Amino acid sequence: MEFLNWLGASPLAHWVSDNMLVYYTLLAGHAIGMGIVVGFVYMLSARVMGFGIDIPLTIFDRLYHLTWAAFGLNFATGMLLFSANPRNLIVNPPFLLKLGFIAVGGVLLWALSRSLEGEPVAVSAGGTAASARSRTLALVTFLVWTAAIVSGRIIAYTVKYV
Amino acid sequence: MFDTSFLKPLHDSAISEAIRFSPWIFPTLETLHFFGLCLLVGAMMVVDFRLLGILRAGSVKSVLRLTHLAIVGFAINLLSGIGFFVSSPENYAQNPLFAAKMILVLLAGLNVLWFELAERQALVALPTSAALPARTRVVAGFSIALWIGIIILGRFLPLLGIG
Repeated sequence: MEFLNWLGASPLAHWVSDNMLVYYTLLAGHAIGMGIVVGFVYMLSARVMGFGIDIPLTIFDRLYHLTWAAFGLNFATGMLLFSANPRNLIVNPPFLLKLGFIAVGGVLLWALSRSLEGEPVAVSAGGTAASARSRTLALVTFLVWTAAIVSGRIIAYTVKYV
Repeated sequence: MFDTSFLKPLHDSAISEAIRFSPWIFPTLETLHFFGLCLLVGAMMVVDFRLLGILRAGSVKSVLRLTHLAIVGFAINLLSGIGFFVSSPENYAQNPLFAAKMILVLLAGLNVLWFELAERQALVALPTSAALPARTRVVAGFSIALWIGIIILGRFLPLLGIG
């Protein structure tokens, strides 16, 4: 708590919370990063579940880098947004749930890509359905990242600002 | 600002009041708007990068299937967005950032229309390895720039009014 008091009173926190242009720029960056990260998860999971089955799974390989870059952007913008109101956010259940969903969603995405690596070549080439295990992982990954968005939205309506 | 009094009846309507005074309808619409954003941006990211040649795997025809998900995302966002507008029509109508966002959405729509009418047919006939024409890459580049601009303006809306 001492650290959070220090963080909340730091010049960095004031730069974010006192400067509307900075605050909204961070929000916009966070939204773009979300679109890339969750958008990637949505497209990969839709494809694994059978939508657009002719698309080779290798198309997602090159997007991994962009998705990681977007995740880095959201980590950075997220930390700065957090610094503006740390003591209230750290006790806000939707905020903690969101972090939990992101952590679980990350592990699931890793598990999904491991599962896909174990599939026959015909699956990644397109046209052949993935295994039930991969499809189930894809569905759960989709749901967990959606839960992260939902809890993220609820933060704005539940967190205190003083 | 121009006269927005013609929107007063909409503001006073039962549906507008329902959205405005309900503790959960507006947050639910916002959540749907973010969900639709991810669907739309995710699909357009793959499609546009494929058309730009940054992604090369798969035929253009197979990748264009993802535009169906983009349409679903857009429909969700159009409907939830109408909900936002109805909840406070005069505020949105007077917000220049909202006007700018709608202009970019319109341009993105025209970009899609151009693609459908002038590009799609020739592209889906191409073999997977074919280089795509420069004019196709221009359409894809416009698409990415427009959607990024739309997100930025959307997030900045509350700066100049209710958003």
